[in-house]
Amino acid sequence: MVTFAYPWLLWGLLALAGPLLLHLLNRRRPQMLVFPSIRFLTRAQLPREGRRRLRDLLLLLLRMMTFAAAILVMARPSWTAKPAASTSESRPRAVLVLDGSASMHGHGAAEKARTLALAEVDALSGWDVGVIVTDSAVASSLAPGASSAAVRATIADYAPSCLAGNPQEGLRQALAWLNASDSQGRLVVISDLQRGDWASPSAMATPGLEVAVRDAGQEGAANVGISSVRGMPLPNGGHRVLVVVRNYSAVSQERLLTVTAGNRQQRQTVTLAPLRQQRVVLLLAESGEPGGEASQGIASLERDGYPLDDDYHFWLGDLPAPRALLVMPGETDPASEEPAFFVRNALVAEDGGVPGFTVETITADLFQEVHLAATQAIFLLGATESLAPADIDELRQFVESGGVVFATPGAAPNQALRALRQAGLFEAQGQGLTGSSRDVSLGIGWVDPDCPLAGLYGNPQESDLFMFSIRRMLRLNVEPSVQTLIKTLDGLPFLAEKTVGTGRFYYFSLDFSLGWSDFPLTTSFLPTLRELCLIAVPPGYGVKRLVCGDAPSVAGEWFGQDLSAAPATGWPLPGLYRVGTWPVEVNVSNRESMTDRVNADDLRRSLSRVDAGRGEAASPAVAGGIGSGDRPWWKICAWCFALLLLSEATARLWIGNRG
Amino acid sequence: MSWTELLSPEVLARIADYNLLSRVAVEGFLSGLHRSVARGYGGEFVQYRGYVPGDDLKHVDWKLYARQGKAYTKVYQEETNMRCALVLDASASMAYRGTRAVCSKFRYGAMLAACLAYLANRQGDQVGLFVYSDRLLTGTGRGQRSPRLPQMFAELAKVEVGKRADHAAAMVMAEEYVGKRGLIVLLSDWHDMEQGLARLVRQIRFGSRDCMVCQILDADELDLPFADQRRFVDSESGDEITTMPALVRENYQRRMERFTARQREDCLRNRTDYELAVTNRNLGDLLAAYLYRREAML
Repeated sequence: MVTFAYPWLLWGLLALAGPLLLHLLNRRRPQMLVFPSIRFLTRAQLPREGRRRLRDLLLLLLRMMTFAAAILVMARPSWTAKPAASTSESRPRAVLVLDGSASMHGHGAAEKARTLALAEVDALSGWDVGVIVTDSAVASSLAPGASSAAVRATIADYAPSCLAGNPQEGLRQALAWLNASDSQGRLVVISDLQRGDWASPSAMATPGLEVAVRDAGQEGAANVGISSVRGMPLPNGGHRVLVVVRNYSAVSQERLLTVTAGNRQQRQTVTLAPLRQQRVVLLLAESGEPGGEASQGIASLERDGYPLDDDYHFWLGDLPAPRALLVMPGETDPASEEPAFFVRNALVAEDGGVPGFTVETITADLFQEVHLAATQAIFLLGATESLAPADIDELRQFVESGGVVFATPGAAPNQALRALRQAGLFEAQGQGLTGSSRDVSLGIGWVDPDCPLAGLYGNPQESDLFMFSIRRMLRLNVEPSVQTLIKTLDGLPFLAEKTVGTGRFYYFSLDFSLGWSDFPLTTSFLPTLRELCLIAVPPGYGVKRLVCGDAPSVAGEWFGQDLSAAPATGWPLPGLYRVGTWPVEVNVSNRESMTDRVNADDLRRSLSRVDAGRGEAASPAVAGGIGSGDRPWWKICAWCFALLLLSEATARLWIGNRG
Repeated sequence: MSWTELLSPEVLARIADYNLLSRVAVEGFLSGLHRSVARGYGGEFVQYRGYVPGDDLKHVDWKLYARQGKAYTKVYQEETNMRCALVLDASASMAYRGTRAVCSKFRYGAMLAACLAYLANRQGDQVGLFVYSDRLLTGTGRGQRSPRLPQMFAELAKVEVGKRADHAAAMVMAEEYVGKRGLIVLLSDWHDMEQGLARLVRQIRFGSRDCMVCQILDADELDLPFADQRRFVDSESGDEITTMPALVRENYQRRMERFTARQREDCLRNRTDYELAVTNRNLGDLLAAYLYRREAML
């Protein structure tokens, strides 16, 4: 059966009379021309006139067909297999799709949806009724054919979840059920029509299927919600809490905001302009008992029509520290203790809100036994030459996956550089030690303005950052693939960097012991190491912020945390959870807080519209679904239109050339 | 049509170096550029003749007398001015303007006449203009003073093109104006004179007058470029014919070519210059080429 998405456009076929009339009117009316003398002209009533008329007719036919094809393309025809005649025992089917997303918690939408669903069931007596409750997927379902009592029980049990809505899967399931039968079908969608859920529903309904949309929401509902909360420790042991509150309604709102963490509590009244968000900073005093409930914060607003976004769970406790690994040549080498001491002290210190590192020290022979996935930075303190080739390979994989490695020259720097070059980690040649005979003050002479350290060394007047004694250093000759970040006053490379994969490899041309330089004692040592280590530690390290239903495995980097204990489909309820050593903040999606709604009629039309692309995309998932019997013809018409247009142009050109 | 429209500076600049010279000896009263019928003591040597008493002794060739012992007198061609009649057809067929032409045939002819009048006037000749259709529309009568150029152009501007052409009546007036010797320039498309042009030219030439025939045609008349079917209406007779130009074009062009060739032959046979002026051709180029050729033939 041929159906049209826009059948009223077929009236345009009447316009075909236009070219026909023009053809008839213009056919025999030669243009008059006053000519100086016609005595040399003869009449030309030749047999070719007949052929010309034929050519004109061909042109007319082509033009009319082109016009008709254009109208057909716009009317969007499609072929639907005619359903077989209903058997006497098959009953009409209806499926109720109940929106169970988080937004249904607001403004009595759930209760209203329940009432509407029951009313539909009453109206559909004599039908096989099925029920599907959807949130981010199909939450529960009852296939058509069940008893009326079972249907009513399912509707009575209906309760929205805290997940963000995605009705696509539920719609596909409903259409699969409806299309499994040749009998009359009816799809009823009951929802609050919140725009976040229905912004782009796939059009999958077949022609002939009745679609109804029931509105369970409330027009012009007001809502204020908490968008995000961040807690930052203060030096006095207290916390600074930044709360972002958003007004989703078109009128000003005033709400009381309460932030609670254990026995600490702060309140503030917030006045919000229409459709605006506001940042509120609250200070929580020092907790008497750190850890425990004091670490679990909750920001709450006065309850409004939609209560799910009035609470926000956040973590106020200590964050897990990033891990650094110090690799030394061997336990028997007391000279390597001194650099390890300086580096460890520099890394464990907390610096401006950035937590200190957890530092683990090992010898090179134990490198294989370390779990590098949980490590962010590795310091090879003169230990590169002690690593086995397999260790170097593992080191390269570590850097490629985003880690940061620092290396300093050891007992055999050329051998170490050769191994690094073979592994593709660092390309440079050692040209012997310099400055070993006398105590020469060299210091830093140049810092690459584009590197992360440029901010640190930005002010050349701060001489304590630049000037220190260098008694010994390795003269490096770096290749173009390696970037020199810092040079000495003599212009020798002091620190060089190579980017490998997503990580970095840094090589200092001096050891961090006082026999080589005073660098570890200067004020530039700590910030230099910390700044470079933070490349491997992204913002938000140590805590995860998810929305209900977010699968933890796909929600970003977890830095080696064990996800086996986390639910595979995410946490369904808001709250604070823990994965490994990391706290996880789970809250309701902000998308569900929006008060914008789609129009019920628009949604019905959108669901009813035959969209070939989407329909076909949906069909493989649904056995015997709508895609199998629905053939879009407008594409064929479009091709015909293009072909006819080309033919008409060719014919016109040909006839013009023939005169 | 104003003075400036008739005499384009570009055209005048193009023909500034040429003169409109008569190919026959003309009668005139003033000295000019043209050979006079009177032999005498002008600038150009013609022949010797035997000395007769009364001849001016200063024209006797004494060197020849010393060699042969017989006196001869040198005879010179006198140079004089001439009368020039410009005869322009203003019949309905001259009103045609094709798609490729810059102006109508009549206007092209008028500009041509104006340029020739200017040339003749500049070299001291007397110019008369005769415009006609089925009657003489404007002209200078025998015995009248030749009009000044602005007056002539003003008369030309008043002319309304239309009706059929009666060439003979205008020719009589022109012949009367130039007298027995002089130059008559005929400007027309000669559509209805396929047979009669030879007789007309012969009549003009009979009186030892110089004559020049210019056939003014539109490019459309030569190649019939129309694509679609047309209903052609004869501009003078009003007859109609509906035809497909593409189908008759070849035959038309052949007949048209034969027509112009015959006109040319008729003129040349009577020692008359013939020039085909197609209205999409640059007027300056046309005139310059013709005048150059004419001077070269003298």
